Amino acid sequence: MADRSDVKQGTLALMVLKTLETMGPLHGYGIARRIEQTSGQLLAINYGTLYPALLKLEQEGDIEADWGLSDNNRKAKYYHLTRSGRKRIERETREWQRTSAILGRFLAPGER
Amino acid sequence: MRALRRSLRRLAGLIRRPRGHGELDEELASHLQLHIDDNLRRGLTPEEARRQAMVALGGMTQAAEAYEDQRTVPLLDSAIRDLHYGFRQMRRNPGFAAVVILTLGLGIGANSVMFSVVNSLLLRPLPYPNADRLVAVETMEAVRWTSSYTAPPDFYKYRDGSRSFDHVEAYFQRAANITGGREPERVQTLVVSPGLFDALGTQMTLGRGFVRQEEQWGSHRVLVLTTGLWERRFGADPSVVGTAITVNGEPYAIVGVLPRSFSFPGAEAQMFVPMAFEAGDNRNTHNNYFLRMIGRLKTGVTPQQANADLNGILKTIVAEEGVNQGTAMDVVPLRNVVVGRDVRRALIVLLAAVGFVLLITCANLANLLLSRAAARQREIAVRLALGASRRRLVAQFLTESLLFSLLGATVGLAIAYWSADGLNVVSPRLLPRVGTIHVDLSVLTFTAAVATATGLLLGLAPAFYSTGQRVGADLKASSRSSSDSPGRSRLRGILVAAEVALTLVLLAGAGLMIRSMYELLRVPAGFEADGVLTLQLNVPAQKYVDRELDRRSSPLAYIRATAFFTSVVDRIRAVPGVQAVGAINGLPLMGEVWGKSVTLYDRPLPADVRGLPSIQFRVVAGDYFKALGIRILNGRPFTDADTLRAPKVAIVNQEFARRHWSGANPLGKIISVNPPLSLVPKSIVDEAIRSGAIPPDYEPDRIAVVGVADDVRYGGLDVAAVPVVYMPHAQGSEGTTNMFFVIRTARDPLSLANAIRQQVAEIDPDQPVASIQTMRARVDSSIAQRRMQMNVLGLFAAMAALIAIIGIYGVMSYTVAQRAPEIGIRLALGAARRDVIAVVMRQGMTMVGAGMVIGLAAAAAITRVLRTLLFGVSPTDPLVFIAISLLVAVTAAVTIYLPARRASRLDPLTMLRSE
Repeated sequence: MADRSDVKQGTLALMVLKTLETMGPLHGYGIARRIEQTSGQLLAINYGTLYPALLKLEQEGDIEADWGLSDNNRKAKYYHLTRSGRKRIERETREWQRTSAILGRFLAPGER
Repeated sequence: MRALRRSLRRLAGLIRRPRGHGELDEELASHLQLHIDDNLRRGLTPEEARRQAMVALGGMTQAAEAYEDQRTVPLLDSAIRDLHYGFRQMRRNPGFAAVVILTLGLGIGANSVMFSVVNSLLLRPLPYPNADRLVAVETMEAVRWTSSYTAPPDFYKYRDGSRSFDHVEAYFQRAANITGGREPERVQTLVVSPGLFDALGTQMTLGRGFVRQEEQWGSHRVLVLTTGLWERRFGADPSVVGTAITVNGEPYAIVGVLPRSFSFPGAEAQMFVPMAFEAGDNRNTHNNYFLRMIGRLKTGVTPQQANADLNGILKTIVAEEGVNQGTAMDVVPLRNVVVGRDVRRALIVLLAAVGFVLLITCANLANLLLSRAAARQREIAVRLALGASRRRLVAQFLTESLLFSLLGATVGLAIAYWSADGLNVVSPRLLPRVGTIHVDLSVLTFTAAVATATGLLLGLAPAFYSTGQRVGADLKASSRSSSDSPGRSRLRGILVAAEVALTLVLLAGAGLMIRSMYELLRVPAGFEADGVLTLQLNVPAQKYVDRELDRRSSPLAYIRATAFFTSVVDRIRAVPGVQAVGAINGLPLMGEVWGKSVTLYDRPLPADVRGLPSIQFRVVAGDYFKALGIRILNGRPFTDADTLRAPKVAIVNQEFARRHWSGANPLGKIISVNPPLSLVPKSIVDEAIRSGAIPPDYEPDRIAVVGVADDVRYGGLDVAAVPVVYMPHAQGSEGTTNMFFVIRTARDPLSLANAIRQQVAEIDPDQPVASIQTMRARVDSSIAQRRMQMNVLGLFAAMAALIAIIGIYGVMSYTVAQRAPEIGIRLALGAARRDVIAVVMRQGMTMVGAGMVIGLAAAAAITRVLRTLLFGVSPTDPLVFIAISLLVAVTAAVTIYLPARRASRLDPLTMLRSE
């Protein structure tokens, strides 16, 4: 557990959106678990960060939330993507790919 | 866009608090439950499943806080919470809150009231369209730089020759008698050039204004009424427009009625007629100066440019006509003329003074809040220890004090709003008439700004001193014996010293004003005002003057006027209760009425007219000197024997005798009040002879001085006497149709008014009697403005002193309470009560003394601004400064003595036991 890192600032939103895109509507706990799994348990989600982040996405209109029932009949708040959220995924994915490509070139060994 | 949407939602979140809150709790609960379910599925015991889930979720409160910050706007949110807290504090201690709010309300209200006056007189534009382009155009005496009047021919040159103005207009004031229909009435009238209403941008309510054509003699018999006169005399009948009324014995057509809101800048008038001169009218010449001028600048033209323009025209007049040497034209914003320099100065002084009062109030309330903060010291220490940020605590203190000051401002605005009506009733007598005083947007803004500044000032000291403390010390200190921290008690001392200093400055100002008033009332005015009735009879020249003889400067021109005035004197003399009666063309305190130059034949003549000494000229009838109690110091008063056929005689005042014949006997000296022709420019003499105004062999009347009268203050109590020459109206050399009667009576002067009016009506039923007033009332109103300044400043100083005394008392009582244990120990150890009193007194008087030193120094520096408002006293008058120092020292000592004595009477046993 000790070497698990916190989520980098600004990346959590995209992770949440991407998770919702692949998994469909999901509750906060599910989103957290899914991100942790996808990261290969390398990330630890701090709930003090997750819920404000969800709220922010909701305020910005990228996701919406409804109360629903979980698989084992628990009441939970389910988040799903909006049209603006999907656009945001496309846009931010492109930006991330470009950023990591650029960073990759800087960090690649022996290309002086 | 995204950011905007987020901001809006967050703002909305402020309002929808409770629901949002509950929802997060629910969501977190469901999160926890889902996690526990998972853990159970992994085979953990229920307890373990729950424990691990809780650990993973972490601090729920922390999450909630972070969530809350995202949901709303944190700063605003906490401000609202502070506000709630502030209100709760007030509710818990309503008495305290009421005292603070009311005190602030009075302080802020006084400021708002003063500001609303300043606003209407100095800041708001004059009540005319595009008032910023309205200017006063003045002919100035170049050497003394005092404004004087303009001659009609010069005015026409300025009007027609200047290029900087849309309008240059002129007017002069005259009283007119309206007769016919109801009883005769004397009405203040302005004779104006026809474009004047257009220059001011005034639209008539009914009918029309004047047209250029109406300044031609013969077309000039038209008039415009104010709404006031229209309603009063004509019953607001719209059909009077177009009808004719009799003015000074001639029929005038009413062509228009002015709107109710109209006021003429700087002059009162009920009726307007166009200015027109008959061909050969002596008044329409270059040496008759009686016009005032108003201009409307062309858009974009500065007063400086207009100035240069007019002075260019003046130069050509001087060159071509050989007149107006030693004068210059001046163009100044109209407001500066309407609101004189002294009024402006006084208003600013009073606004500053009332600001001082508010500062003192603030210092006092800051002390009060400081004490309260001390009582809450432990609460604050606890909150600091629990991790509240200092910034949050300071914000909370400031919110509280701002809440106080804004509520105070509401009270203050109410005061300003209600007092505006009262001020409008009182102000026409005391202040120049410039629109009405009311609470407008600028008063609101000013009040809000003052309140905010007050709130910050009030809250800062307690906020920083309460939060800047070491937490540990306060937590450890037992609540009972917690003594004042050194820093806070120093602050308290500084606040008290500041109050004392500010109070001293105000007291110095008020003291100087009071001393001025005292000096003013002690001035030998030269007459006895009590028991004297005054009234004005202004007879129409149409009826009482022979125009043709007047044009030829004949002494016979005014013979009918003299006969009228003489018979009025005789008839009034016979009214029971009348002791003496006389008349004069200008009463004492009325200001300059008629300036002339005098020729003294006992010395060589100067080179030209300007070398002749100037005098104030007075024409008298009846027993003027006796009726006003003016002493004849030498020689004799005028008698009924000084008639047209008798040798011409004059009485001079003492100042005249002192200045021109010091040491010599003035009796029998020969003077003239018109210059010999040899001194007058040839062009003017030729013109006068050609037009028949003077005969070719003209010689001015030679007049023998038969008496010397005591100096009378004609210019006002605060204006030193200037040389005066009196002549009898009966000798007719300088006629006048406007005389003020003075009637000395054995009983209440006003009780004779009707009997006297009756006598006048019996001689001429068409002749109105105007401005019936006691001489005492005239004296009072001549100093009313000064008295008001004194009263208002005195009131502010008294308020300041009272607040400061309360402040000193409060602080000393608090200090004594704080030091009670120490004092108890001293007493127990055998200190004498006297010593305890001395200790407390020393502590208090040190604060007061420091404040007094600073205050006296500040007062000595600041009272200079009062110089022009003072009379007969220097701005650093030692008597005033010593008196107020003693007053403050003694009052402060008494105030401090009370808590000191209480301290000395403490029971040491009780004190020690309670420790």
